Amino acid sequence: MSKSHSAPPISRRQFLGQASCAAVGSSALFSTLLTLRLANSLSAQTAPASGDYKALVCLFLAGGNDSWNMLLPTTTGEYAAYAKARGNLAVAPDLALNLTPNNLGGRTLGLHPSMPELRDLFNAGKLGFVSNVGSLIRPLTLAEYRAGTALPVSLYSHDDQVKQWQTCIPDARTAIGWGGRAADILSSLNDPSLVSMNISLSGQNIFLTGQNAFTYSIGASGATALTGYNATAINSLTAQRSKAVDGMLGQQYRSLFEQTYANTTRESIDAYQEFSSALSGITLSTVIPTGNSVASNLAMVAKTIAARAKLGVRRQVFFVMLGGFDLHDNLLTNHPGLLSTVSKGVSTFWSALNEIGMQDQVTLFSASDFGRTLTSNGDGSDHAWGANHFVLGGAVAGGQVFGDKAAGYYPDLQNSAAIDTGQGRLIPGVAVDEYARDLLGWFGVSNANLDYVLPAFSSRFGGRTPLGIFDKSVVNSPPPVTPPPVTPPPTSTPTTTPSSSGGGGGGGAVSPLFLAALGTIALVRLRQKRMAKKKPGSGSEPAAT
Amino acid sequence: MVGSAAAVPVQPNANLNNDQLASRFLAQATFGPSPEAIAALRSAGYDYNAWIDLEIAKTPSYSAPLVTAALASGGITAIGNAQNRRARNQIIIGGSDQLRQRVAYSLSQIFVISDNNSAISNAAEGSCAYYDLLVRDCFTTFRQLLVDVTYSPMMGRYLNQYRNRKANPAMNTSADENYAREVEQLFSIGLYQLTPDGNYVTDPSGRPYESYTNTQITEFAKVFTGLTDEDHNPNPVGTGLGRTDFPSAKPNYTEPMKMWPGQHDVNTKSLHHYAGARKPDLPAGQTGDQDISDAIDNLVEHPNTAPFISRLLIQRLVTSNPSDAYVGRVSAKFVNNGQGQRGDMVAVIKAILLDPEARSVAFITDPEHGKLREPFVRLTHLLRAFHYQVTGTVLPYDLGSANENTLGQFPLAAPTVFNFYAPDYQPRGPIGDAGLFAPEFQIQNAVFGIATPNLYYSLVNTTLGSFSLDLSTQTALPDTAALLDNVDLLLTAGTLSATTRATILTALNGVTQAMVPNGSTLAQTRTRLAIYLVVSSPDFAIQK
Repeated sequence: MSKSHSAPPISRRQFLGQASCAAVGSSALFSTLLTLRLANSLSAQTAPASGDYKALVCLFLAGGNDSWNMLLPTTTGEYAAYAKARGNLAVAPDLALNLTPNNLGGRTLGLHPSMPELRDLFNAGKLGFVSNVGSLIRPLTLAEYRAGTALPVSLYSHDDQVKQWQTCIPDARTAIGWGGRAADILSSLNDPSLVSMNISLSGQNIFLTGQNAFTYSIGASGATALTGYNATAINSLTAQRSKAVDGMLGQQYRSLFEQTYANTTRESIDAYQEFSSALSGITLSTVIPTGNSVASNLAMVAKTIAARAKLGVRRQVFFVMLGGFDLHDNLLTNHPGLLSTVSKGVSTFWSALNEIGMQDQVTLFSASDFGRTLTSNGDGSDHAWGANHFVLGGAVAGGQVFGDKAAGYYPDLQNSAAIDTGQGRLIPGVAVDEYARDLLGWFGVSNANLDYVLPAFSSRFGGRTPLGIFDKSVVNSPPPVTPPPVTPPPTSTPTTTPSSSGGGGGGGAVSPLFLAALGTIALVRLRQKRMAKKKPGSGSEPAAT
Repeated sequence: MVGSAAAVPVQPNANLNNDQLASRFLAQATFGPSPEAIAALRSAGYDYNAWIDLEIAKTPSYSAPLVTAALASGGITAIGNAQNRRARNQIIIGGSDQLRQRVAYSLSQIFVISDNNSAISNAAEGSCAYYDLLVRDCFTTFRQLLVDVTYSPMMGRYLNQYRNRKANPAMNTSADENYAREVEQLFSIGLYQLTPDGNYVTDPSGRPYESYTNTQITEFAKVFTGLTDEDHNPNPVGTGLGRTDFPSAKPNYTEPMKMWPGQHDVNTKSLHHYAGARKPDLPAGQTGDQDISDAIDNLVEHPNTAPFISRLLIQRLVTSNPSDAYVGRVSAKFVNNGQGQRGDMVAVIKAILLDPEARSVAFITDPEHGKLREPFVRLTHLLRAFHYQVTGTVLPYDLGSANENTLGQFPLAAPTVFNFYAPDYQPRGPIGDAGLFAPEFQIQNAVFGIATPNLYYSLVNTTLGSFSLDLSTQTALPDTAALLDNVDLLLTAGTLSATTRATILTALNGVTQAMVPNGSTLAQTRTRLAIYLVVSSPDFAIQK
């Protein structure tokens, strides 16, 4: 810990003074000095233009999607390497849906046969894939991996890898996600509202949690009402109850704690009213397949987007999760159904976005715990690292595969020994940070604010070329692929001991905001001195009356 | 609307009788006052000190034996997270050793592990065994707690001191620093140097001094190397550049980890240097167990630990913003219980609960006093106040897995090692504006603000999981005033404000026979409404 990173502590009075000077309105009064320090480091976002609206939708495939069967190589030699590694898990070449990405220089890929809807979206140029992406502290070679250098905490563990995908802080266990940090910055573009900018269809999660931003949780049928409450009921038990609740919450309390509780509960009830009235009357004619939670949840996302004007929002982040991907067993039986649910759900969403005219202003991206081993355990695959993902949207430069340019955008499995940590656990070619940077750039996080939203990015990956997910100006030309040198076999047991040594792929100094996110620099919140205040009754024993 | 015309802010009633004072004490010291618990204090002459001694003497209630017995009897076929949670519910809600349970629960929010982590949830009865460790140790010493937590195979898995390898220079690896960091930041000394009354020690410019450097984390990380499963193979296996690696062993989730010397770093370690530090530097060649013992002494005796831990425990039990003097009084007992012993948990707990700042009624009307009752504790209060019933015979204390997630808080289910909320969280509005803290408000947002009252509504009007309430005492009361007196005694310790009282009485008296739902009586309907409204009141939400 270095003291040079700690800004001097700020008294409450100074805080309030600075807050008003910096035009942090009282409605947005930050709750802690910590956030003030962050706020002072942030640059103002450009004011929104009229009609400006963008939504980012995270589709989280919980458990670790076997994405090497979702998107596989089909060029002859590469398919042979794939089939050899996967053994009984390999998708048959004649069944895979053929894709010819226009930036792979003729190399072909196959999509799992249960995803024809995604194939059509890819061919229509609306969907792109990102290959071999995962949590990284910096670009890593196999030798460095074997030396235990700069490894994410607890590689291959569900909980940690989920957190790291959602926080982009692979060095430590933190609970603030990059979707939440984006909302800390961008919610100022929205009208003041009790409904958070970040909305989850799948409960509370780290991805949407910011320093200030919280997650507004809804279900596929909308928001939850306060049971037994109806402000306009008359002459009924509900009316008696509701009047009393309103009375208690509308009262002025001398206790700061009671007043705060009354305020926050009132806001909770009003947030529900605000959300449900904004969505009332909004229906979709798009047919929603039954028994498909991805489709029904994404349909509610589309309805919420359709209510954007009434909600007064210009930016929203959504989170939808589908579980069941941890297929150590029964992969061949269960995986196709899950991929089909995803494919049909996503294409339903695309139709719904077409119906509401918002295809160009919404981007959906997939995420997951980690990739899975290439090798088979006989009945399934185990936890691994790098994975393939997809991004959908009218703004996406679709029909392409994005990834590590040096690997030709999609790793050639004939050379996978150079990035294989064992059992086909592939070292990611691109970091989640880089994936997130493209998404956030489109979403409107300015370069100046990127240090806050992705605190580790600039020092670790800032020197790397953007993936170009939204760059329609050029089709990424296929680079000449030079097979990386094959590292000699390990001479000793690999270790997953994390190391704090960094550098190697970065473009600048470590951001103080990153150290703050790690909790390794002083985040000073001074206790208020209460010395001037005489406590009543100190020293007296309880008086019975 | 009652009270809407009044410009005078509402304040709690502080004119309490002895039963109400007892109820107030039990709200701080237990998972909620039951009529029987109030009666017990009454018959003991309202002697709180003697009551604490009786609680300490009670046989502890443990959760792991409940799940292992259910498995042995064939009542369950496997021990999973749901079964462990039910067993913990049973000792928390149903245990007769209520002070012990409440203190253990408070400690579980300092020494955090989480069953949201699969290493914990997949560990058979491991999470219950960990919770039982806190139950067992909570009236011993802070040192005993820190030793047992450090050696716990569950904490080891949660914070990586389990199978933590010593540095291997040839491989360029170093020891995992996770536990070393958290044991300092969260379990003992905290981030900043503290005065004995819990204020920051600052430099002339007002900047607080940090209590440790990253180098010290690295040094402590070397201490916490070499721990592994208990029944290890005596034959060293695993190699690699001359390293004697951990043996393979049968996973152990319940017994303390054992030291495996081949992976313990035997180099010197530099610990904290402070006045009176007994072994600020550890010599080379000590055993791993000796290193850990010395390092824990170094942390327990550090001048920060007494005020840091005292403040956290006061926040869990009594008030979010204790005065400096209150922290100082408790902290002094932590340093010396009067017989020269440090870290005597009984002395600390008595100092917290018997302090004038906890007991004097004058604090009830102090606008900065008290705390938001935790959502889980609000639920247990409701259950215990009104003679909860459970259906089922095998691990019957089932609150429903969906409900557990809806509450925003559940024992041993924090999202991270940083607990459900930060001790210095400041909500927007009057608390934050006054520079005060209110940790529990960090989980009181627009979602839980609806979801938690809905759970209370469900319990009061029907059932919640396998739980329901027996309201026969309340429905037999002669009128709505007597009904509200009873609910006020049990939930709000008689502190319901005159205005809230009038608001609720108006609602109760306005219930007519025509409004009574099918299958209910007027008395039942009014009773349920009375309980729901008190539970929904700011008066109940804030423990004073």
